[in-house]
Amino acid sequence: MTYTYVTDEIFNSASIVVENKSIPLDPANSDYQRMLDDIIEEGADCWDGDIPADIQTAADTKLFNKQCRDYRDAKARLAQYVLAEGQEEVRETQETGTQIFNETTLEMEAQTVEVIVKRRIDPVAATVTELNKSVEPPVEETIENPLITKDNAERAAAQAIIDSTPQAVKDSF
Amino acid sequence: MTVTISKPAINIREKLAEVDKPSGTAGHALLRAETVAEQQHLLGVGRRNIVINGNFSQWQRGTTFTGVATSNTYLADRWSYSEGTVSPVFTVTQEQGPIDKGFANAIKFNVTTADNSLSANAYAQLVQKIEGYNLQSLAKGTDHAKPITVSFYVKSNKPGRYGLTLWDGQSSRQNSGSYEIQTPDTWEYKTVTFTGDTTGTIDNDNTEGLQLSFTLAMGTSYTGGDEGVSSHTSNTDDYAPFHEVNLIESTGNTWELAGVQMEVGTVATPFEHRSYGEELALCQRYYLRLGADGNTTNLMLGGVEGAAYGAMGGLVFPTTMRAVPTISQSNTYFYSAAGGGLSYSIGTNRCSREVGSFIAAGMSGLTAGQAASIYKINSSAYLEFTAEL
Repeated sequence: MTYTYVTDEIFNSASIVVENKSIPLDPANSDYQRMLDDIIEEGADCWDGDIPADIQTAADTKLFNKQCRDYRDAKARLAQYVLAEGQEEVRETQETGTQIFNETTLEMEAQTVEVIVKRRIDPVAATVTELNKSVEPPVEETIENPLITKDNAERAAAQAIIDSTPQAVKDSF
Repeated sequence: MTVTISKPAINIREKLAEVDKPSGTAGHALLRAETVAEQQHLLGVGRRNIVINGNFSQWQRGTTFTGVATSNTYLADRWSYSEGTVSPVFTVTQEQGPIDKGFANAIKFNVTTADNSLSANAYAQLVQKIEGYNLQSLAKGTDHAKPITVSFYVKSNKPGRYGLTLWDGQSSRQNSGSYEIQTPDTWEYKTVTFTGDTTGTIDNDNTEGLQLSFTLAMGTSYTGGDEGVSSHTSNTDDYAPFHEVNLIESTGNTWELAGVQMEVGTVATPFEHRSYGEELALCQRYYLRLGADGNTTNLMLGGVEGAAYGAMGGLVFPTTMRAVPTISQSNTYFYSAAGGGLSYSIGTNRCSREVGSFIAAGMSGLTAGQAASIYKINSSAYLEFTAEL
């Protein structure tokens, strides 16, 4: 697929032509957005000639925004507790918003209360027993808990996203 | 003088019971409603169906599609095929729906090339993308987010559990549900209710707000989680957690859908039948095909010649389009006073959301100032304006 930038002197206007389609320079147009995606993926290879500066800027902005979303989601994923380790209970002293009189200091003070901000969660079992039916006779096998396997894989994927995120994106947070 | 009057005995308990006039459960609910809005909701009055062309009456692009094998292939109006990491091929056709239920039309997927080794990341689905303007009544992303109920008729030769998902691309969130086809090749009525999502508002604009996706096949990466609302990145396997049927595993498998309604609330009300013309106008906000009627009417669009181009325009769209549309054409010609019928290419797109116009390019020997036109050379020729999400 090769995009071509076309202009006309009659109206002094421009569009993008590809495969007998004429795409307007309208960000709400889905073909225009797909063209930006193609630039992000293929670079100038999908263009006939140089990519106009304003279109390249639009593609760069779209990529930047996508990397921001991915980075935010990956950080949120890593912030979740590790299934194999569980989660310790975390308590915090918080103000209730009510003022009470302290008879010792003879002053009004903010009333506080201790609240659990993270409840304790036990780690899941490290291994599970599974019946291997692929051998005859079937035998019981102990394997890593699939929940842990999946958790580790998702955390690794999230870490990979963070590692590959450009510094400019990280700096924007 | 003493006068004695006799009258029948009155059972005061029975008389009091008569005050509580007999009514059914629905009647009681209506009487108990505290606001007019609540009564309207119970009666199901007003516009309810958020889905456009849920009755599959509109097929501007044609009624038979062979070789359907790529994402973003539009079929019936507003409905598109979406896939990833799979290689099936479908024939998709307009068929008769459950006519005894009031649905003359349905969409039918027929697998013509199978993919029986489904990879973990595979997916194949029928999708309707819904515009943000039409979703504000859901109050999504607020504490008062409304539940959504989707109802429809479905038929397949492959019974089993299928996934149905609402995908919010703006916030990378999904809300998943499922339904079960119990009897092969029989129309069955299904309802799926999604809880309101209090996270991720939908922009009140003309961009995509939600996707309603009917799953045909789904790899294990997307099927291992839990139904309900979850964020995409951390819980990819919640996309279609209970989907178990691989429709594309063998050729000849079929899946049909009719009467799709998506509405606010937990109750599936009767399908809102809109008029044919009204449904067409709703579809034309996203796609307009000139020449879809199949006639060989010659003139499609007027204009004026330059020396090597035609400035074509003056087409006022039947409804304001969602965005400035993409233009394409098939088998239309440019009629020049000097040169007669000429093939041409579409040059610059001069459309607005209200008016269609463009520059016809790729010609020579024209006479500047002469009137010109775009015309059809056969019954299948068309000029199309696309503003799909």
